[in-house]
Amino acid sequence: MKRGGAKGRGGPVVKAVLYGFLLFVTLFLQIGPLTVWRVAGVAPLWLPVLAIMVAVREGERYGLFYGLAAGLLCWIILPRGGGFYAVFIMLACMLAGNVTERFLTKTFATTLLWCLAAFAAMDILFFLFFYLLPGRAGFGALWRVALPETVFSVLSAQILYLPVKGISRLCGSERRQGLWKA
Amino acid sequence: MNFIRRHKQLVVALAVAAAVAGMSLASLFVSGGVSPLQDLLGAIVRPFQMLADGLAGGVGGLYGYIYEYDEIRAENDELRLRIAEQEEEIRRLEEAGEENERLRELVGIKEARPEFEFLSADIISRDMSNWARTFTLGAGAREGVRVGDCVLSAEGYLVGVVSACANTWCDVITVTDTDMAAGAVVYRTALTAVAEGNFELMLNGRLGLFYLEPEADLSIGDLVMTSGTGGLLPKDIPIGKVTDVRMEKNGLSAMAEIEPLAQLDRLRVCYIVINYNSGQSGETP
Repeated sequence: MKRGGAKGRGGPVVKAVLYGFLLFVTLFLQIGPLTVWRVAGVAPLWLPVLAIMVAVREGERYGLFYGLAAGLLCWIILPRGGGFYAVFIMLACMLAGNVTERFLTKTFATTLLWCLAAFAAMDILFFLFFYLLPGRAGFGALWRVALPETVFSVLSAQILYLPVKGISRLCGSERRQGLWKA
Repeated sequence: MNFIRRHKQLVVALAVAAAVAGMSLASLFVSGGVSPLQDLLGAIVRPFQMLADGLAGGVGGLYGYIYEYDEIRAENDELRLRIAEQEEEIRRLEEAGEENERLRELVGIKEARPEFEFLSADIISRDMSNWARTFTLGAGAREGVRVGDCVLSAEGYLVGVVSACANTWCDVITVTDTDMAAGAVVYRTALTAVAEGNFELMLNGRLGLFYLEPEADLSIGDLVMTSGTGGLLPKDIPIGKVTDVRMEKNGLSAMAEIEPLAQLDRLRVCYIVINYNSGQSGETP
């Protein structure tokens, strides 16, 4: 069941390749130029934002795999956190994809709100489990790092919305192919 | 007159011949040997000569181009090859220069700390997290690196400690990271304390010296070095200089802020101490 331009049998494959390429480009930016682009002392983290955007556009099943891939990459490139990033981003993408498909429309505003909510939740949980509880940092870290990181990452990564929307339109977004069908 | 009328053409011809002969004779007495007639004829003919010469040159060049095309092309290819070889040579020389610089640094640091066995490694990835101060080096267990190895700058200043080690790379926590903790001693007063990373200080690129007596003899600018206690890190490695001394929030002990001597943001190459003889002590700055 396809919506939008069905684009033939090769559609899903082309879409997977394009989204994979976008993930690769974002990873390249993440480990390169973005490390030196700092605002308020923090560098942006685009990978989780990209995963949420794709999940909102493509639904929970796509979100699951894309979130897992982006999370694993975060696990590899970011110190500490263990598999936290992989698990959290995967679950957040599933949730975002499912709820958007059931109750929301796929607009820029929806995507932006999901990105903000998911990133903020990720940073708060990361701070709680890996900094506050082990005694590495106090609550000040939320204002000094978590807040600017969330705002800067989500806003700056909105440039990725254009290619995500483009791929989604070009190849057709999936509809009601969730893990739990209504 | 009748003769002239009858032989008008002959007379004109003779007159012209006489004029030409006269001018030729006159040219013998003019310096440079160019008569006015020659000059006049030359002025008329020269442009045509130049044009003809140009055309001849062009045709000749075209002929040469066609005839020698293969030769020119071969020469062009050879020149291209030579340029590529020279560019490659320049690149090799630049690499050799960098290697030379690194080896000089290594010799310098080895002379300063003969008891250490060093391994130089490039920084292949800098910290991408806003929550930690770490980086990755391009040397790992295969080269003899182990978790806990000490990492120094070219000047011999403490950079950090290896926190994770794979076969070909290792992660390093820098001195400002929250996971960093090392026994420290103030060089001037031999005061011992613990140099630790602290989240607030980390964001300012500093670390702290904690658990100090409130009346501890400590001044701004004091040099702080590793004490070697616990055997985790070698002793007498410069960590940084004291930039601030104040009471801790609990009011029971004092703390000092330390600015690392190693320029952590500008490092490209680090030196991992993969082995050291703890019985000796090297020179200290």
